[in-house]
Amino acid sequence: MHAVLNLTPEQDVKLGQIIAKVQDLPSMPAAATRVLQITGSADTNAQMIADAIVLDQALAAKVLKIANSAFYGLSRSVTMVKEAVVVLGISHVRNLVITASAAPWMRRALPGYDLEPKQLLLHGSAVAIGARMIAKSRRLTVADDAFVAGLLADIGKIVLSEYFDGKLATMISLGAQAGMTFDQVETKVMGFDHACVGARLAEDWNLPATLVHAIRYHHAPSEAPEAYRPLCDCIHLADYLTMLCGFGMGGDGMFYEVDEAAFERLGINANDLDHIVDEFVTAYQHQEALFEEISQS
Amino acid sequence: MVNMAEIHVLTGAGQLVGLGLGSCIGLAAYDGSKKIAGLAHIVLPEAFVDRAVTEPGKFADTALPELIRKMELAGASRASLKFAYCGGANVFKFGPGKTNDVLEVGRRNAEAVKAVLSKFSCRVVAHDVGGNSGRTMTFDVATGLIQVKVLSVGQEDLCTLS
Repeated sequence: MHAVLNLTPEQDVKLGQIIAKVQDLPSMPAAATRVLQITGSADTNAQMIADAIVLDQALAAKVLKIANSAFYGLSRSVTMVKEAVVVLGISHVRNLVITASAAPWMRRALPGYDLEPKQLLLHGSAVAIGARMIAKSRRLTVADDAFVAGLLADIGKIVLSEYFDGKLATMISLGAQAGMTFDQVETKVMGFDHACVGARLAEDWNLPATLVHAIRYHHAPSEAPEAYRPLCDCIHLADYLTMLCGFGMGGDGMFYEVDEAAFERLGINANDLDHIVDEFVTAYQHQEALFEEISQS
Repeated sequence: MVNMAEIHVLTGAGQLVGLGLGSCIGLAAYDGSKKIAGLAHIVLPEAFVDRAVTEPGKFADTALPELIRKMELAGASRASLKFAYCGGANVFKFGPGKTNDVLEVGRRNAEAVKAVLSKFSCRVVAHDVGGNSGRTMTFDVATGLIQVKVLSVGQEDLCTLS
């Protein structure tokens, strides 16, 4: 149990207690988890995805509504989920399903991080778009995982926000005086940072191990097991780009360290950075309307 | 709201807001006698030599001349213009020299804005750059008052450009 986090039994109990005390804990619909599992296997097809989605009528309705939105500009409306999967593609529908499933709790305000409503969703959307862009440009096979992992990377903040409400300024000040990053301050105060808490949530939802690792190591990709490092590197770099651009930035701001080894492993020369920022901003602007549509669905 | 790479100019009344400035810079210009205000949301220090500039507001070196042009188009007198800027935050850095300086986009942006303002002999009244926190810049058109909000810290007056 909880193999990714590698905690002692005492730590495991403590983390469980921290999460259990939170009211209205986020959850991932079973249908969405099933879609992730199906799309992760090699022999998936549109019918299998559609079958998983229609088990949850509310989710199916959202998928159809978004597929028929102005963003896609389809020449005729789609009325069946399978049709939507065929027209938009399996990986696109998978990303849409997870975003629509996460949106209800990702658009909440998180006062413990000074994040206004929709800001966590905005941040996650930007990291998702950036991570997929980086993975594709590097020709990595993790592009779809990169999108979902990027979207969910900060879900641990939903839990920790309840503990930090009213304490954020003191925590920032503590970090500044001690020369600590904000995730280090989180660990000092709670025993765990938001990456750890988010990974535990993802494990509890039975998300694939690749996603759990990506959430766990998104601020420290060099510490991830080697097999998961390319995905963690993509999320880390996308999170860095998102911070630079200020998308969904809370009071914790840019108090996070850059792991330069991630740039090197991805084959990105720091001198290319401005081009990457430019491409990221363009990619985000292109997708912004879709996320607005999803956040209101 | 002035989004990334945009330049907006307003006359008489209203507010110009640069929301969520991370490493970006909000560059404000004001003609107090005519109450004409402009704000550019700059993303990067320099336009690319190998790409056409479709959004001049995106780069420090192209944003300032475009901001001045739009201010003049709205009736502002170039000689009357006063400027202020804020933003340019950076990701956390452990000790000097550990992080590649190129990665400090905020610092490079702030330096580029300062240099281009100097090149165009602009009058700079105030600036607030650096640090590790995001900022929101609010520019009141009627009074020229610029306020900067730093999340988790609060809002303070930067200056009045009148």
